[in-house]
Amino acid sequence: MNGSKPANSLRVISLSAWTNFMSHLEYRFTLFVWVLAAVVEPFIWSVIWYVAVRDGSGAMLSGSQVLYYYILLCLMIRINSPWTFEDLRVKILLGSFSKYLLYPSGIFRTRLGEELGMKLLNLVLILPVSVGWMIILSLWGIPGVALNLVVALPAVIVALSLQFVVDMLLIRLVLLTTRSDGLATGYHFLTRLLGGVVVPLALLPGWAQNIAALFPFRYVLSFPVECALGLVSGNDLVMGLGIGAGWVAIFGVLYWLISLPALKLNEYGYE
Amino acid sequence: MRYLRVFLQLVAFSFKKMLVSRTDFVARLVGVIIAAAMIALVLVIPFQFGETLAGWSRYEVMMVLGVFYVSNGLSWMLFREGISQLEGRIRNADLDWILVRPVSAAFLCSFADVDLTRFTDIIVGLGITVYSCLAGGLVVSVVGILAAIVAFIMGIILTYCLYLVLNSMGFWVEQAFLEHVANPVFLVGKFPVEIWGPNISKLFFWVIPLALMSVVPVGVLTGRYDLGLLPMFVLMSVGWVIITSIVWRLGVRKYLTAGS
Repeated sequence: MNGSKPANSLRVISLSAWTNFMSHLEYRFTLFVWVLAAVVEPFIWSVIWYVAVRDGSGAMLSGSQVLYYYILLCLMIRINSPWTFEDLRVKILLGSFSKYLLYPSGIFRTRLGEELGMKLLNLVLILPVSVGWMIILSLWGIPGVALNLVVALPAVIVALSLQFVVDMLLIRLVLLTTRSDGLATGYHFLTRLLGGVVVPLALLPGWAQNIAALFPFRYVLSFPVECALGLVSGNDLVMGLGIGAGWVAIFGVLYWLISLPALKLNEYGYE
Repeated sequence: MRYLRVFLQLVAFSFKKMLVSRTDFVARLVGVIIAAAMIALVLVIPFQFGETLAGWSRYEVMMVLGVFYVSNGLSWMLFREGISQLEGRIRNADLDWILVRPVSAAFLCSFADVDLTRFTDIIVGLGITVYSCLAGGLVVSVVGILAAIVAFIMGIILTYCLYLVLNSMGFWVEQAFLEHVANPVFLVGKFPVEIWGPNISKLFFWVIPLALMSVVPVGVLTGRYDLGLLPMFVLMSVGWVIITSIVWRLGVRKYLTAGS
């Protein structure tokens, strides 16, 4: 029962995903507030950049593209938020992390399942809101934007993988350093800025776009949205997927390298 | 006077806590400077496409950001940290310990957690405000400065009322987590509310008065808004204080713990 067989792993993942999904459905008002909170920030930024682009000239995005960018980004933020990191870092601080180490299925598979459950829940909650948001825009006479979701799919898979590996790596770093707040604040701020939440990366000057393209944050949130809006295609698309996958590999190796020392430190206690 | 003494004791306690973690204070100052610099750089972007943003010049928008940092920092320093714990106190029945104290429970809940590290936000905000005023060559009068200070104080009072009313919903709804909605909404105050168009911007002036956090003080300072609006804002603040007081009393009456 150590879960080494693929069928066992799949069973553990699917069961913990379903349990997590169903247990959260018990808190319906909280979920409503959650959805509201998820929409507020992207909505405010969308209006600010829409007005800036509409009243000015020479921007790389049209007003409609800005609005649709934020609708899709809102979706990405919800399905790809650093939920595992936020949840586990609190558990580490409160001392309830150890229970994961006792699970026969192992922390990686259990968390993967819980993460998938959260993603499913968020998708179910936020998808109708996004569709409703698009309908309201069309009722206001704002022209629609063609979305290429098939092209965006590989980028979404890279984004989900990258976020999960980063989450697990950050958790190991919390175990090593016990500096949880600083890591959380720094990660949150950089993702907001370089992940295209505060400003769509396409509106940045060329040099800033080039810098943002090198960091992993773009591939966690903004890149799939850019693909869906048709802002990235051809060689840029392949290169973007390559850079994103490269970051998954780098963080995966780092995770593997520090995993054991971090767990041992947690097991034996800190100086 | 008694409340002032209690408040000063709370500030002194917070100061001692801050002295214990001096590195945190320095780290926070560096973090806030970097964050403010980044946001200030982001604010340059709209002006690549046009001269103004919703009719406001670059330096006026930057000044709004500066005043927002001061207002936001001051509110977090004084009361938002404490109020944000209200819902948890209600859920865990910790409010019992506050209700039995010989001072107002609303006062103690609000100011029990004065966070002096937020002073960093105020320093950075003042820096941005003064810089944008000088760099933009904005001409301000003494009357304008006085009016801006009055508007700013009204903004702090209204922020307090809005935040306390929202968090008091925890008396009626378990695990509401409404502050998760409230905190992003305060983002509205970072930019001129005219961005939202004539109808919705009225909402941010008169219904959810987030404009008073930063936009109105800058508006009256630069002469963009009529000073005749100020008495109406004062009246509105008084109205919100009364509403907040009623909501708090109803909430405490509704409050039940395991022992009740």
